[in-house]
Amino acid sequence: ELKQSYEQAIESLVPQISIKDEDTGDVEILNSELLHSEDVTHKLENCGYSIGIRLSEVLIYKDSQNEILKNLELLNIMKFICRDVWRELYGKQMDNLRTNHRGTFVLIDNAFKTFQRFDSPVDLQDTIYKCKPYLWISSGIIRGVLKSFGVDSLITPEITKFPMVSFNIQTNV
Amino acid sequence: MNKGIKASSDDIWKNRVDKVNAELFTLTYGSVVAQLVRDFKNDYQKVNQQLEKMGYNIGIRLVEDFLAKTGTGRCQSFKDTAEVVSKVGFKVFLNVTPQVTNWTSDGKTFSLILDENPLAEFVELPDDERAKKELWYSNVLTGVLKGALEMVQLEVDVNFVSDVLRGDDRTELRLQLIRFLKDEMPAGED
Repeated sequence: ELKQSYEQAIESLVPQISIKDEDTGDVEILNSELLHSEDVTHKLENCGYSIGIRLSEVLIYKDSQNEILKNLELLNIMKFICRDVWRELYGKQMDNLRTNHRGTFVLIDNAFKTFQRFDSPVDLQDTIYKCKPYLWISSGIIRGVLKSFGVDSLITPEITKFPMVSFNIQTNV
Repeated sequence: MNKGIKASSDDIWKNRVDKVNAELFTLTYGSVVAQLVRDFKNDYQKVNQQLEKMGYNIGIRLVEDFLAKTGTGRCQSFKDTAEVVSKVGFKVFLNVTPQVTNWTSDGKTFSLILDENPLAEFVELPDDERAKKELWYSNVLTGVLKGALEMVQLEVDVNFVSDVLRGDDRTELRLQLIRFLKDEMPAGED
């Protein structure tokens, strides 16, 4: 019930289409003041989430003998994300995994692949500002993969030192 | 000539193209379409339009990357263009080579048959009959072709006429040449 009312609340916040028509699919979109608006963030995160759920299925189907999957402890699921998911998506593993052993994890990628070619003509700060929405997709993917293992989570992505990114993950386990 | 094209685009695909994971690509496109369907509250005509528009904006910039990677020169005829679109364009960006076929006698309209469609991998359209009748799932391609060809002075009309996702036998894109555009100076320059 709580979830439903939450979703309704989000739904009512989300204007039907908040992006100007002429900006669709154009780089101008990056100058839109809506770039960091809640509904854009929410939609991107949701796209990631649905990718994550499906990707998880594909990966497990492709490699059902995966050692990691023989023991579905939370830490192992995180390792699955760091190793298998990340390698599949970005051709490299996550560089660092930290945990407080009480359900909070921090995953760090020292050179986030999506940002490889990103560079604003203005300055680094502008690059970082415009990169942020792309991070929500990956963040959503992680949430989706976790969900496919039955783990609910809250994820805060951060660009710590461009192109280094971190994902702060709080789980309910 | 065709053999030469094929060998060189194989080489470009292998050595000069940055690859992105195929599943990530397919699933991301899928979630974009799904989001559009939600945004437009299942108005599939609008989804088609929006996908085309997104494709158009991709196409007008993609052509620069295309020219930089392939160094393709000017085509001598629309027939050449068809070959290049299929054997070079589709090859270097999607690693597929659609068949070029069904030319009209005036040489202005042809079809691309997509035996493989990387966008539609793992995809099933929802069971509601309307989606199968109205949604052109891969419509972003029509926009990309339109945009890219417009940047090389070809105004074309591009449409899907059938799609295996809808239960058709094959996935077919129809391209029609409307006219050759004149080279125009960018606005504000003499």
